[in-house]
Amino acid sequence: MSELTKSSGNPIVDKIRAFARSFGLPRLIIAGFLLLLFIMAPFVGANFFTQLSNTLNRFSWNAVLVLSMVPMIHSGCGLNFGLPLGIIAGLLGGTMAIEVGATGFASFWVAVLFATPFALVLGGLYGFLLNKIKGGEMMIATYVGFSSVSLMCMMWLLLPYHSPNMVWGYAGKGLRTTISLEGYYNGALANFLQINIGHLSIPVGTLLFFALLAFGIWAFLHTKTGTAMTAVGSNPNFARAAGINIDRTRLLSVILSTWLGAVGILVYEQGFGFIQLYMAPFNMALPAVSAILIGGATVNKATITNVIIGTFLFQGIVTMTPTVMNSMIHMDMSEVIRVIASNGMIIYALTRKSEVSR
Amino acid sequence: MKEKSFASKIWNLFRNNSVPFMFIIICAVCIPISGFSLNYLLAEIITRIARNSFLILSLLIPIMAGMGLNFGMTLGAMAGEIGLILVSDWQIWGIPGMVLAMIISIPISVLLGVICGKIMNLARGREMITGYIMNYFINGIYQLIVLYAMGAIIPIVHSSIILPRGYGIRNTVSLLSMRQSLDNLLAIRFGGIKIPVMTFAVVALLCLFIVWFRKTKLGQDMRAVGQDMEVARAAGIDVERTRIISIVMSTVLAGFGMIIYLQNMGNLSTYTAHSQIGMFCIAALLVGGASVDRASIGNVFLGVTLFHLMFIVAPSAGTVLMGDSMIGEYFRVFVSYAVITFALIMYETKKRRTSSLAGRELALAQKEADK
Amino acid sequence: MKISKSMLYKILTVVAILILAAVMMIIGRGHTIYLDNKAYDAQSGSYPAYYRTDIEVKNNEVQKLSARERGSATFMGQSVKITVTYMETKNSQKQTETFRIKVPYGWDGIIINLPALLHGEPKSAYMSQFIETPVEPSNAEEVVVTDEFVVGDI
Repeated sequence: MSELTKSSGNPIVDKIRAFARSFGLPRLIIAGFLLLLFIMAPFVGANFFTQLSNTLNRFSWNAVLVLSMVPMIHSGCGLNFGLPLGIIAGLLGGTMAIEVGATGFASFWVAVLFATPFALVLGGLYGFLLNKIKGGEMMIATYVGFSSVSLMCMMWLLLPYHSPNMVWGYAGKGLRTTISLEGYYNGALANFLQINIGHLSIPVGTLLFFALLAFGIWAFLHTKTGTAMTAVGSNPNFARAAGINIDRTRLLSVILSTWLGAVGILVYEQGFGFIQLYMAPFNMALPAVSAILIGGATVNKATITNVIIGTFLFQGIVTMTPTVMNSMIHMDMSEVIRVIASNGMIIYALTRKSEVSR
Repeated sequence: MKEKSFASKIWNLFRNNSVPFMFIIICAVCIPISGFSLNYLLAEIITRIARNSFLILSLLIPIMAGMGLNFGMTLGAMAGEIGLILVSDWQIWGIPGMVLAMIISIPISVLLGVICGKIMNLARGREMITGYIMNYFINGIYQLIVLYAMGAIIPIVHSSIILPRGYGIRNTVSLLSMRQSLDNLLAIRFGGIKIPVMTFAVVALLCLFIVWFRKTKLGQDMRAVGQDMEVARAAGIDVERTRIISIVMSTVLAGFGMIIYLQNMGNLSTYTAHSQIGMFCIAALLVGGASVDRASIGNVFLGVTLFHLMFIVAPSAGTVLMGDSMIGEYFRVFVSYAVITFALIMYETKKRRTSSLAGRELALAQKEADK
Repeated sequence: MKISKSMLYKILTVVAILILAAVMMIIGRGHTIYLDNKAYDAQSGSYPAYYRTDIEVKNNEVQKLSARERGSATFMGQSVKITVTYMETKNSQKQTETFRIKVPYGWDGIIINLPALLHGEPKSAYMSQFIETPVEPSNAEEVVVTDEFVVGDI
């Protein structure tokens, strides 16, 4: 009997070890930390369901932004540090929807509609550029993002917006730094089919919208073009031999990522309730990047599951640490912990060997 | 025939130095618009050259070792800041205070540099983005130390430095006791313009050191590693160690540079002083005509002059042109980022072109051999 | 144990840097000195304030102090040269005396009572520590931690 357990025990231990290795130690630590936070929450007087609702809410705001990482990782363009570019397309769409006077639920879809051409054009240019500099995507993506954000800072002041809800009151021109979405698409998705049970509230509409997009991406990755994209990312030489047009596939993935970024920021805004302009998109890439990495993605491999797990873990830590930490040690170290954990995760991912040959 | 070659020479000069030329044009347009007096501009530029050159010079060594623009120089800046916080709590003033802050920064810089170098060795080919993310990561640890450990674990006694709650450093630490102590030493006033002779002497010393260092065995090794890692390895150079040393040197020098920079400013913004320094130094170096794999001392001084000239005149030129000073502020930020983006793109396209050229030559040579 | 030559150099460098640090800590220690022209009263004797005093600290004139006034100066290092030119009453002669005072390392602010100093009282009598009144917590600042690398002037 004892021999039996011993012999059957070893493979299990090995399996756990292999799992830990493939899952990555930092990821395990972060998941364990979140689990600990959820366990601790009731002891420090935080309501479990309120915490869970907060986490779910923030998950629903951010999930699409994280999802926008997937196409580019698949095609071997690396982590999309250029997410601000997509966000800018989204911001243009959102502000234009308000400018033309769309209100309520419809304004969200108008915003998506307006954002799409910008995302396609910007994404196209961005993809064209990234094809010219294969191998150095991530650093250049970062700075393309920064340049475009600072260029748009000037544009927000100069573009001929007139809606009194958006421009500075005294000057009559130039957009405000934060624009309230009250009366526009605030909660457009979140209030749709929302479930409220006691302390627990679930933004079903937003989650459904994310599920729809996620399913769309999943399905797309299983079409012929989608598998070609994966092939380009995992083995470009093989892809070239198979007659796949690498540059065109990469271009497509970048456009798709940019468009998802644009839609992602609109989803974020409808949950958050405000449009944030100027320097706000500056560092939106890093949380999204670290979220997908926490979810188990690598620099050249990512799945929808990674997106869901990663966003949940990341947003869980963001929402849970302040409450739990504050009541435990009366020190709000949550921001510092978030900074260290999320950026540590990115560094960890960058140091992993990726066997992509170019 | 001769004239044509002269024209093509000019064209080549322009093409190879497009960024500096672009900046000369921007400055030439903006200076008259901004309406600043020449005297004022000269005084500002001299201050800024003295303030920033040391920091920018710290970028040269990793470029020599082929590790690209050291975005991780911010790590050294943080080490320097920790030194300054401790020194101002111990009430060591003036130049002795600066020297002591530098000495304190050395072990911290070395430690951070070794960590950064090791991680960059793991992330080979992605050094720049790794160094860039390292900024954020170490910034988190810096905040952990400065905001929570200082006063709680590391003793800080003065209430002018520590937060009222008993731990953590205030948003700004006054460096009044050492403000411009290096700049004012032996300073010469020249028609209303103060020339900080001693600061320039220190910068000159660093330039001489870099020139000398290039000729040493270690410097030669670094250049070999920068040219071709595999060849260097075959020649018996410890590539990993050489790369780590180059990052460590850069980090230590950046720490010193930050202390020189802050003594000129006269106060330390504890949580934001280091945040932009790396970006601005790199932009200035690139404006001077440097690229990711090639930079000289001349690039540093040309760059710091042109970049800061643009930086000074852009807001008021923006006010005159657009009627809004924010436009000019955003413009200079945009230009800083655009310059870095442009330089990175140029570097990557050049790298690809040469590698594909080498590939074609190799294929050609193989064909020849097959015949 | 045999220490190699390069190891020896490294150790020597580290020692030299540490010595340099120690020297800097001594010569760079800043103090603020407060000079009181106030009446001194103790068992050993009591002295009235002077009519007028001129004070030089490290050969730089600080202030002219009338009776019951306080002057201050800053200096670096462990000792300070103070030159006092004083008139006991309105009509008395000017007299000058020079002192070299060693100050305790740990004191940021030092109060010197001039009458006690000039009458040759012991150090403990004329020197006392200046305790700064703690900064009122009204200017409590909020430290905001972010990883946003904001853009401003350089």
